[in-house]
Order: sequence, then structure tokens, then C-alpha cells
Amino acid sequence: MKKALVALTALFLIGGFWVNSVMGVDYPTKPITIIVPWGAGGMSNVSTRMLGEKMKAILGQPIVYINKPGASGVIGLNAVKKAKPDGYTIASGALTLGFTSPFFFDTDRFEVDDFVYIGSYMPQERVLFTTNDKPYKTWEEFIAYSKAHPGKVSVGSGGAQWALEVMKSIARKENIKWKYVMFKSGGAASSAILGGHVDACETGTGTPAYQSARQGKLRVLVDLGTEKVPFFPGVRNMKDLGYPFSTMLEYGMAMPAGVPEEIRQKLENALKTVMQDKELMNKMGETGFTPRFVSGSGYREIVIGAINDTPALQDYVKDIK
Amino acid sequence: MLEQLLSGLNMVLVPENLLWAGLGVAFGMILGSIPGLTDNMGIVLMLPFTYYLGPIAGIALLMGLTKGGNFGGSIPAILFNIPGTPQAMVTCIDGHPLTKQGKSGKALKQALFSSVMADACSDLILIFLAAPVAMIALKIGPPEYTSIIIFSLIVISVAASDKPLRGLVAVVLGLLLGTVGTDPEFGTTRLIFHVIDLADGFHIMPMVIGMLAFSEVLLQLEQQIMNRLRKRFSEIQAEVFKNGDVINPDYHRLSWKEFRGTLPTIFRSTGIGAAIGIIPGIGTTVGSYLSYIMAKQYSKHPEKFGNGALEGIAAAEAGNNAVNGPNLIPLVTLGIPGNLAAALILGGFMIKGLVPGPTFMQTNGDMLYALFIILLLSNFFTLLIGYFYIKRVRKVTSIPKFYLFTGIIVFSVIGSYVSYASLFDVYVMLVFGILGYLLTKFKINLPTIIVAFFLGPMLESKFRQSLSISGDDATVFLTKPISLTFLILTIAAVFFLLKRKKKLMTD
Repeated sequence: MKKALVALTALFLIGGFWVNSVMGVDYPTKPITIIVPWGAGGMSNVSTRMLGEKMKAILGQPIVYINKPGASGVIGLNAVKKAKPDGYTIASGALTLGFTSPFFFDTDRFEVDDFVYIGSYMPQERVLFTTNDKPYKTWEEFIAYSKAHPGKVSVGSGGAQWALEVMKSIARKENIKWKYVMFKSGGAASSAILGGHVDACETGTGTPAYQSARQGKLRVLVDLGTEKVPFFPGVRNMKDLGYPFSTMLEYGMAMPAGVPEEIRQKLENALKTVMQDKELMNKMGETGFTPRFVSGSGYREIVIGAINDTPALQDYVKDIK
Repeated sequence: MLEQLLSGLNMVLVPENLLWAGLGVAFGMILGSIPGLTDNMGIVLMLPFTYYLGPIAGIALLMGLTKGGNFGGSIPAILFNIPGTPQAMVTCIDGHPLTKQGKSGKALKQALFSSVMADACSDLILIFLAAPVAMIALKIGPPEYTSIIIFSLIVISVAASDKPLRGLVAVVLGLLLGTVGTDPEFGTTRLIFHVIDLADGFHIMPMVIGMLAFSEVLLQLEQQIMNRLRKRFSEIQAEVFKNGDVINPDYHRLSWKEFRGTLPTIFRSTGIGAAIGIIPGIGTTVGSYLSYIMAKQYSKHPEKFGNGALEGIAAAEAGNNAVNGPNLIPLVTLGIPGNLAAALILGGFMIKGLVPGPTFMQTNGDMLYALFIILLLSNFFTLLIGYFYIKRVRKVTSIPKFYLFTGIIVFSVIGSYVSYASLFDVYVMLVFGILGYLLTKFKINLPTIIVAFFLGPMLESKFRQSLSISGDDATVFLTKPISLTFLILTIAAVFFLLKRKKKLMTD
């Protein structure tokens, strides 16, 4: 009797797994948790919630948001990596930044295949700003001025170590000596550049500095990424100028490795459908976001690029102080 | 301006908005009064919900949450000695002794009236002085920040303890604890011993709860054990709390005379809090603690402080709430959030497709006035709802002591866990509880440690930013006028405070 019961239970269990893996289309049957590995005030949080509200309608289940900030994304990504791969735990935000952070913090690195990728929804460019009263108006003039005044020009960063390292790579290529100032966040960096406390400062798009530049109160010098800066069509990026390194902040969604492909595909389709919502896209555009959809496999390639690029960048700038 | 004001009024005064502002206040107050759940968490929870509301109703909900939560934090501080929010820790110092005396109603009312009054005054500062204050805020760069923080820390260390040296020890300890985590400039981790949970340093909530609430449980435990060893059972039984069935109804009343006596303290603390609010990031905790220390200095009865002085509660609450109005100034004028709540409200604006910033006044002037009106309305709701809320909650102090302390342990654990959903934070709380217990034995002032811990990372990054900007030239602190002024003020304040202390000693 006992044996029969065990066998029956085992059968049910196996049956359950089998149903689960083949009939993945039954997903989702309970609320989905999205972990945002950054704080509640940032761009990752705002954009995730904007998209999540629309995805909820498609998936037919509520979404629970958890902000798990810390160590530039590492803590939240770790939590997702360790979560049960059943498709009910998703990481969302500027994930490429989180993947590169372990290099700078010198902690355990993430492997590309620790995760499966739903897709990405926008790149974010890091932009270098300066105030209107400075003698340099273009990138070339800024470089020339920096060369003429070694160790005098201060450049700040709005909390992105990656962007600061890219600026160091520029300094090495151009043989410039800058003073580097790190600020805690895009907001703090914005008030520093608006108050004229540093000579030039980089932040992401969408920050107060970026909004001020849109109103002509700050000048844009260069784009540290490889895409376009919204509302600034003439600004050149690292690729245009032929610099070896650039930032690649790509906002997207991923899940722990082991999530069945059907579930991943279903979520990718949901994200894709949401990204065709005109009203939402307009709203995101007004905020200074640059929404565009990239498939899960595309996002995986972008993550590989970011992870591979970082050690080379670190090696390239190791002598720049 | 008048036209925009009227159109703002028009936008706000519909029943729907009033309902959401009221609900926000009520919800925030409940969240704030549960240790570990803060108004900020309420905003995070409610943000997606604001999608379904109109822009004004959504912002009314968010504003109500911050106001309600800010006051709600002082309720467990007064009743259980557990600050519901970090900034409520100063309210513990005098609020909880009053509860022990059976006067929790009096303490809660004093806290409510002081916070609402200071909050309303600081909102008026925001409304009428936003533009000039924003100009001052921009003038404050890294060197100015450094000097202002040094000024705050030195004044606190000298004034807060009976022995200035003990205060200095507390400040150094707090600064040291603040260095754990990630280097603000190089991004490398330090003093974390490969524990990745420490990469962002100690979180403030478990630290505050451990040091102030859990250590108190340990102290009480020690006392009980000692009593038992001495076999004084009658004493133990006599100590059992019985405040609920009050003998004297005056204990829960706050007379006009008593309140009037605290008015000068409220206004002074509002001034201090508002001045601190102008500088983004220094924060409500420092505002309330500095106000408290100043109130003690100027009080006619400084000996009452720490034993349930109404002035102490007034200073803590007014100093805390007055920070809020000016803190929103960088948000509405420049789009730069001055604190976390402001950052979340910025997110709320952005979800609505509104981008606060330099031209917000011109393009969305009516929205801005609507925001101002909502602020004042929420204040009114805080007063109204708070008054009814405290009538109910103060009854919980009739719990016997042994249940109460079990409850405090449970809430300490939950309160540390929830903000980051991390078990690690619970261990942090326990360790700080033991540390707080030991430090109390050495008469080291615990709130001073927490304030120093809170300001430490900011002091470090601003100091290093100043030196990066100046090219490692330390004279930058002396050549900037605002910075120099604060350094001179520091020396003057120390001289003045020490002289006063000496005089009190010899008297």
C-alpha cells in the first residue's frame, strides 16, 4: 500500500513536471514578480513600471515590483539569478550596467548564460554636458582646451563608473590630463554642472541636466555611447569620432537560466506587443527615453558585447589617474 | 500669477482629489506607524496605482503619503521607542519617557501639532521663496557642502553629550561605520570582508532600530535579570505597565498653556529645519537632531530633556517636518530631487508625462500651483486624520511590559527585514543592538553616532570631490566665501558652547 502510494505520488509529480514543461503555454497562473536592481528614484524603475502596467493586461496576471538596489545592480541581479526558474521572477532595468559592475567591484562575475533574455526596450546614451559660459563650444575645441590646460579641467560623472572609464580611455587616446569627479547620481551631477562646480559632466539622458540642455541652459559636447541622443540629432557619438570604447547601457528584461523556452517566448511576445503601443511610446519619448524593441537573442548578444568589452577597457585605462 | 493660482485651485478642488489626498494621508500614517515600513515604501507601492488617476489626484495621493508617513513615524517612536522612520529617532528621546509616565496622549498631540505647524510654515517658504532659494542651493558645491557638514557634526558632538569628548568619540565611531561599503570615487569595495550584502554599506533602518530599540530591550532584560537575582519580585510586579486605564485624564490632554510654552521652540526649529532643507541631501534626521540640541541649549529647563520634555518633542518634530518644504524647491525649480521622497514624486510626475525643471513654472504654472495647494491641503488632512488616529493607537500602551518587549523584538526583526527584503539586515540589526547596549554602558550618545553615520559618506564624497575639482589643493575650503563662513561659524560655535557648559558646571 505504502509503495503504491509512493509510486502514485511520484507519477503525479512526474506528470506535473511533464505538464509544466510541455504545456508552458498555461503560464502565467499566478502574479509575476519583477525585480528592479536599482532604487525607486531612477530611470530603471520608472521605465519598468511604465512597461509592466501594459504587459500586465496582456498576460492577465498582476505584477509585483520589488526594488532591490545595491552595488550598481549586482545585488538585484544575484537575487534573480538564484530565483526559481519558473518564469515568475524577472529582472528589469539597465541590465548591461549590472553585468559590468562586478568587474569594477571585483566580485563574482555573471556568466551570460546565468540568465535567459526576454528582450530589451531601450538604449540609454551617456552625454557629456558643459555650461554655456565656457570658451569651448564643440568637442574639438574642448579637446584642444583640455590639451592646452593639462590637469586644470574637471570632468564629472553622474554615478556611472563605466562612463568614467570611457572618459579615461578618451584621455589616454588624446593624451589629456583631466581631473575626474564622481557624483552619486544623475541628479547630484546635474546640480553640480548647473551650479558650475565642474567644467564638464556626464549623465544619462532624461536627467535634469539633459532636460536643461533641451532648454538651452547647458551645452552638449559628446555622446559617450554609440546610438543617437534624442532631441540632439547633431551630437556625435564614440563610434562617429573613432574612439575605441563606449558605454552600452541597454534596458531590458531577463530571467534565471532554466526558464522553459515557451514561457520566455510568451514574455518576449508580450514585451514586443507593448512596445507597439503608440500612447505609451509617446509618453516615454516625452520623458527623454528612446524606446525600441530588441529580441531576446539580440539582447543576449548586447550583453556578451558589454561583458567582453569591459576587461579590455579596464586594461586600457589602468595607468590613467 | 493670480490667474495661475485660480486655475490651480480650480484643478485641485474637486471631491476626487480631496478623497485621494485624504486616503494618502491615512495610508501613509498607517505605514509610517509600522516600524520599517516608511512613507517612501508607500510611494513605491502606490506609484503604479497613480496611472489610473488623473495627474492631480495622483500627486495628491503621493503628497498625502509623504505627509502622513512623516508624522506616522513618530507614533511608534513615542509608544514603543522604535522610530517608524529614521528621522523619528529624535522624537524617541522625549516621547517615550512620557509614555512610560502614562502620558502618551499628551506626547502624541504635541508631536502632531508641532509637525503640522512646521510643515505648513515650510510649505509657505517653498511657495513664496522657491526662486531665490533655488539660486542659493545651486551655489552650494562640494567645498561648501564639506564645511556645512563639518559645522553640523562638530556642533552636534560638542552640544549633545555632557562631556564633549564623548560626543567626539560618537562622531568618529559613526563616521567610521559610514566608511563601510563602496568607495565613492573608485567604486571599489572596502571593509566589507567579501560580504557582498555590505557593498552599499550598512542600511540605515536596521542600524537605527538595532541601536535604539533592540538595545533598549537588552537593557531592560539586564535589569529584569538583576532584579530577579536580587529576588525583588514585588518590584517586578509593580513595574507592569498599566497606562491604558489612566487615573488622571489630564495625562492625555495637551493644554493650550503647555502648547504655547513650546511655540518659541517650534518656530526656532522650523527655522533650523528649513535652512537645512535648502541644502539637498542633508536631510530630516539632521534637521530634527540639530533642532533638538539647540532647544536643549536654549531651554529654561534643560534637565527635563530626555525625561519627557514637551519642548524636546516639539523641537524634534518641527525640525524634522520643516525640512520637507524647502527640500522640494530643487525639484520644482530645477527638476533635481532633494530627497528620496522627492525623487519618487519626480517619478510620479514623469509617469504623467510632466517633466519638472527650469521652465516648469512657465509651461505648467497651474500644475505647480495645484501642487502647492495640495501640499497645504495634505497638512490639514494630517492634522484631522492624525487627531483621530492617535486617539485609537495610544490604547496599545496598556499592553503589559513582557508582551510589549516581545512585540518590540518582533517588530525590530520585521522592521529591519522589510525595506530591502533581506535577512542579512536582521543580523545587522541584532549586532547593532548589542553594540548599542555596550555603548550605552560607556555613556556614548547613540543618536550622535547615527547622525554621523548618515552624514559620513556625504562628507567623504564631497570632501574628495572638492579636492578632485581643486587639483588636491586644500585651500579651496578657505577661498570659497560660503565655505569659509561655515568654518568660522564652527570655531565660534564650539567656543560659545564650551563656555556655556563650563558656566553650567560651575553654577
